[in-house]
Amino acid sequence: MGERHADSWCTAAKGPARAELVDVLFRRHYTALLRLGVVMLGSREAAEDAVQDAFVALHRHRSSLREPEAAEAYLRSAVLNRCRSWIRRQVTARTPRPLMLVREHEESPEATTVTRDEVGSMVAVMRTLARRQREVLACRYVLELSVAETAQLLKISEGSVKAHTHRGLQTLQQRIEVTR
Amino acid sequence: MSSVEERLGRDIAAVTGGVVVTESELKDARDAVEDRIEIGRTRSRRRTVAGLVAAAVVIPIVGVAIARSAGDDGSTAPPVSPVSPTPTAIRAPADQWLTGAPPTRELVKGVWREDNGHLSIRFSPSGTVQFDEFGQLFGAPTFEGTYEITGDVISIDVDGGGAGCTDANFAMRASLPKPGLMRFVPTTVGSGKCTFSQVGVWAAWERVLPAGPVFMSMRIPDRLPWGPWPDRHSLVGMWAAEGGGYLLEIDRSGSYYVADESAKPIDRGQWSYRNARLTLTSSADSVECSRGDQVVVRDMEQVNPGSGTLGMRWTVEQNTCGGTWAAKDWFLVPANLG
Repeated sequence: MGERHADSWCTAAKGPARAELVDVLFRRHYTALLRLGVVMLGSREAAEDAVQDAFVALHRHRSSLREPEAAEAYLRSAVLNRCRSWIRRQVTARTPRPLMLVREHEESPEATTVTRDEVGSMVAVMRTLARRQREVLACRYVLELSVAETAQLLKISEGSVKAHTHRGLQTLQQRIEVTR
Repeated sequence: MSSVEERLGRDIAAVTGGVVVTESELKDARDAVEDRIEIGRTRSRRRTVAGLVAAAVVIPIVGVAIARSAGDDGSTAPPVSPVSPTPTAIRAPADQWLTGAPPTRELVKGVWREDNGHLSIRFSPSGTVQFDEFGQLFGAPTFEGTYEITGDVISIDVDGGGAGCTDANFAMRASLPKPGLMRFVPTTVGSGKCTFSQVGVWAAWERVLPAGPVFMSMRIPDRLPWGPWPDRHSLVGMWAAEGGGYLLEIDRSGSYYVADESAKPIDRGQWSYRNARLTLTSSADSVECSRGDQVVVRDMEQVNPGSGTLGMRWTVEQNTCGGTWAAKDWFLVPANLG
């Protein structure tokens, strides 16, 4: 039932029918996407913003989506994009202004997130990885996608997925060893 | 599976397991998405008109700012739009810059905002000071401490705050050429863990509370287009009441503070935004309201000249405390909100 709804939402549903179908998509995907956002950003508030924004974008582009699975993939991709933008904004916000307080050993946004949230947890360390590595690890271990699905979502080759996964895990391993 | 994979999987499960979405939260999120979609439709309908109106709106704001700046202080740098502020910074001989009355606790008391900038500072008559970069002066200041005035030098010793600047020291020569306007020249730009990024930058500050002439005369022009409130994130920041008198601080953490001309919070508590209604619930710490008192507002609207929310207004639905501030319109005191 839900699949059919999602199908038709992407094509012709309007008014009350559209609202009902948005409900279906919301119930099915919101929590999982929110969890993805929280893992990526370390902030529930920022994650909520990213996920809601993704649903608004889905609405905007609904006519170009043909399959219910496309809506899911679109939402995942949109959330990852918005997480990326959020991290970039955090960096921009810390660029020097004419009069700005400068902390000694100022931390990167990722490092700040580590400090604020789960010090020592692998998730916090994951947020400090290079962008591709953390996105690939999020797809593999948060969304539990296969290598092929990850490659499709991130629009990279399967070889790249494997390479980024390997490097990401290797870096995490090194960080563990350093902190021991 | 390697041990690092296992551990990563375990940690992810621990983090995601803590993310619980209740029915109510799901509904709120759903409503927020619908609100945004509806706003998008409204914007689309208004696009043609908005382009014309935006141009008509920005020009008077900048014009007013220029006129004020020239009137208050002919030597200041040209101001820019209040929603994309650039701090006024002057490099000139100190004695030419520092004119007027020397600082005293009586003259500096209150909340000040960096002229066309993001920073705010509060001096209390008792000798405490809070400094903020992110619109959280009352709730979570960047640093706080004590200050002393010797001659025209204000010295600040930091003993707390969110930036980890404890034990840092700052000092500045200051003067008050006119009521509500303070100029300063940093002489000690920090120590310990925190310093300011540029030593030679001198700055002007405008008093927000008690409102100086600039903030007292600030009005949101009638011709500005009001539109639907975008989302709860746009609430976060410091808001000055139109015409002066009050400051409303809405923090990311869910706390809010209302300060009056004494520059002290008269009401504080928790805020929530659901179904396009803002609810401010007073806590036991509130001075003028009782615990559980609520201000509930609906039909929230914003003024957005194109580069961010500038003004906020609403219709009061409930005001159990009876604070007159609830009926005010507000404009955003710029802060670095990220």
